[in-house]
This record gives sequence, structure tokens and C-alpha cells, in this order.
Amino acid sequence: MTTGHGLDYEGCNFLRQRLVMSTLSGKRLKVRNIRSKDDSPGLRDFEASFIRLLDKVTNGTRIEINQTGTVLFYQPGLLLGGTVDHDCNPQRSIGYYLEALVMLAAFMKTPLKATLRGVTNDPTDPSVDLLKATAIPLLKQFGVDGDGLEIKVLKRGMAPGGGGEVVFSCPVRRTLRPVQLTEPGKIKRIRGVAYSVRVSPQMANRIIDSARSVVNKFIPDIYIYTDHLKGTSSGKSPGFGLVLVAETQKGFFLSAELSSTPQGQGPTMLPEDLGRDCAKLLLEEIHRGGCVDSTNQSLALLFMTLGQQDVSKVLLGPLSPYSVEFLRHIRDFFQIMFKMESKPPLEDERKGGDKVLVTCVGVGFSNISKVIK
Amino acid sequence: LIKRARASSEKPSGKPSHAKCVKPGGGLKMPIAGGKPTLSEAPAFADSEDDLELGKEDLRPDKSKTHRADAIDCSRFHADGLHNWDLEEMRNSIADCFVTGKWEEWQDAATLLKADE
Repeated sequence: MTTGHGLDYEGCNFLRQRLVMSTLSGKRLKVRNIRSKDDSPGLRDFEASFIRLLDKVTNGTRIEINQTGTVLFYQPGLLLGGTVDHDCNPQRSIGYYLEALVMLAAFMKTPLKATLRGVTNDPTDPSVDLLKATAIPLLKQFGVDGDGLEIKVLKRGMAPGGGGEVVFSCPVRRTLRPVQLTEPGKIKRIRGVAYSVRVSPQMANRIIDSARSVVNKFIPDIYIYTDHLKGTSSGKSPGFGLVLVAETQKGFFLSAELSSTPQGQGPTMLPEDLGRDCAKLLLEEIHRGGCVDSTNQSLALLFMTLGQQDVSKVLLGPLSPYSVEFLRHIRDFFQIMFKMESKPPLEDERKGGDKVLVTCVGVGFSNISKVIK
Repeated sequence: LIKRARASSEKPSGKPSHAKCVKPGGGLKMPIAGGKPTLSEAPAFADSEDDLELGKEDLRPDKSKTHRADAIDCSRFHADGLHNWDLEEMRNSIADCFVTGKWEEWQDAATLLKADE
């Protein structure tokens, strides 16, 4: 496989990771048979919206889609960055778009400042609040930090209506730092945000009470903020939800979240149930453990790959199916294979399930578009 | 690599059916549409090998995952079954993940204090 060659895939799944890696590696990408057996074949609106967003942050990208939308050809351009404004299709939440943008932002020519509008919280994707609490500190571990790095929720918009607004800004880096994240440390506190829009502000308190009752058995240092937005900053649909984050002494974050069922898409959820279930999801995440939580595994794996030609080690919980596929794509695009060691817990240790220590040597990626001053 | 190895291990069983189905039909799509249920796997492998021989493709996605190829693109880790966190023993299994749990000897405050004395 030489650089000039493209890669060929089938189906709409994992579209984002393919496009992200194609953009970073400069390799052309062709995806065929996109929902070819579906009643309505081809790319969906949200995927088209995602591709348009990529087009906005790059220069010289060539995108070709056939008439039925079942074949996508993508020739990546240069990552440009700058100020970008995008209306994200409300079929997926902003988290869907932001996850990919977080992976690309550090390698832009000029620092990215993206204003994304759409659904901030839905049950499918990681919410902007979750990414704010976990992906940002992870970026810092790899040397992407500085005052420019933040995710700001200006308006909240629940699914299905949306109407939220988020600003993501990120400084540019020429290279990434190799990391050795092998010792997660113990959890010292639990933080969280209980949000509610267009429902009684009391909902957030009810969520907090029930979530507290579960995690209080482990640790007393719990603080869950309430976030009740009103008027124009409350979006178009009612809803509520909870994001919980456990912080370790070493500065690692494990997270879980749950969002209420979107209006008109199923039985409503009691805030008490939501709080309790979310707290249990956090316990599940703690049981999986590691230095990076399951939502951010792929981000960590990508940044390990793109690091300097030095060894990076990260302790993870069990790999999610998405991360497994991510590793396969890393192999295809960057020819990097990870070494994986299973780390079962010791005999007398009460630290949850099996962990996996992933090791790789970075490709020595450097941001060629960055302006050198 | 695993895929290649599997593809080549399927070769002996794949070849005869490949010869039987493809040559009379002429087209590549035919054997899949007209294949018997028992042979449904074999033509698929023969098909992908054909392409590799012709050098059309750098890489083909794993055929066994075709049912997942059009699934929802989502990074969430949905575990098959959650543990029952209402059970005391389950809660005990993660107790040492917290600062309130048991510490390793070399960083346990009580042991370190004793060592100082």
C-alpha cells in the first residue's frame, strides 16, 4: 500500500473514523454499498452534513457522491481551521460531529473556532457536556493545551428539535507528545451536571438525589451541578439528563451519561430512574476502568498513533467494538499495529474487571499545515 | 493478515464452487443470487479473491461482518448486560478504585507513618 493508493470500504458504519483517518493520512477513500439494501439507500442527511463540515474545515477536498448516494469518494485536502460555522443535522447530536472535530482540530493550519448548532444532548451519541468533561483533559495529556482549548455550551437543544449552540476552540500543535498512562490512580471525587430544559427545574434536583444515593456508598466527595437553561437558550424540545464524571488522583476521568427519551419517541423516563441508572452506568465504567474511559478510547488510540516516534502506553478497560474497528482502520491507514497485554486484576485487588495495556510506536506525524512563526 | 489467512484456508473449498458457479454464469453477481444456502459463504470468498488477484483493491472489508457494515456509526460502548450494582459483592469488587478503599502498601498512609516511627 503506497501513499498514492486509496482505501476501499463498504457500508455506512464507521464513516467518521474513515474520513478522519483519510484526512490525516492524506489517503483517498472510497466507500461503496452505503445502505445499498435499505429501503431508502444511500447517505443520510446527517452524514451529508458531516461531510460538509469536513469540507468547511479543509481546503481542496474533493468529494464525489453517486446519484443514489450509495458510493462516496473522498480525496482529502489540507486542514485549514479558522472560524467555522455549521448547522449540524438534528438526526444526530452535535457530539457526533464534535467527536471527529476533536480528533482533527490540533492539526489545522490556523486554530479552529467552530460554532456548531443542533442537538446538544440525545441518547445515542456522547453529549457535548461529556466531551467537555473528558475529551478536553485527554487532549491536554497529549500536549494539546493552552487557553484556546475549550468547549462552551451557549444554548442547549434536546433531541429531536435541537436549537442548541456549542463553541469548540482548539489551538494547533505541530507534534503530539508520546504518553505513558499506565497508572490510573484512585478516584478522589465525582462531579456531574444535571441539565433540564423546558421542564420543571425540580427535575434536575430529583435526578441528583437518586444518583447521589447510589454513588454515596463509595465516596462522599460528590458535587453535581444543576443546569437549567431558560428562554432562547433552552432549544426547541423539552428534556433532561445527567452526566457523571469520576476523577482520579492522577487526573484521569471516567464518565457516564444518560439522557431522557426524546419527545414522542417512546415511553417517558422518570428523573429518579434516570439518575439511578446513570450512576450505575458510572459504576460499570469504573469496573471497566483504565486511564481513559470507553467513550474516549478511540481518541487516545489515534493520538498514540500520531505521536512522535517513541513508545506510548495507555491502560484501557476492555476495548469497545468501535475501538476494535478503529484499530483495524489505524492499521489500514497508518500501518501501525498495537501491542496488547491483558492485565487481569491481582488476587486480593478489588479494582473491577480485566484491563488491557496498549502499546505502540507513533508514526511521527507532524502538522505540515501549521504556520511557523 | 487474519483475513488473508482465512481467505487462503478457504481456498480449497472455495475454488470448486467458484469454478462451478462463476464460469457458467459469467457474471460476478450471479453466484451470490443463485447460490444454494450451503454454498453461500464460498462464493463470497472466491469473489474477494478474484479482486485481489486482479489488484483492484488494496483492502476489502471482512465479509463476515457485512451485517454490521450498515449499522449505526456510534462510539458508545453498549455492554451486553450490566452488572447488578444492587448487590453488595458487586459493589465490593470496585471498592479499591476509590480513595476510600484499600491502598497498596507502599502508598498507604498508616503503613508509611508506622515506618517513619
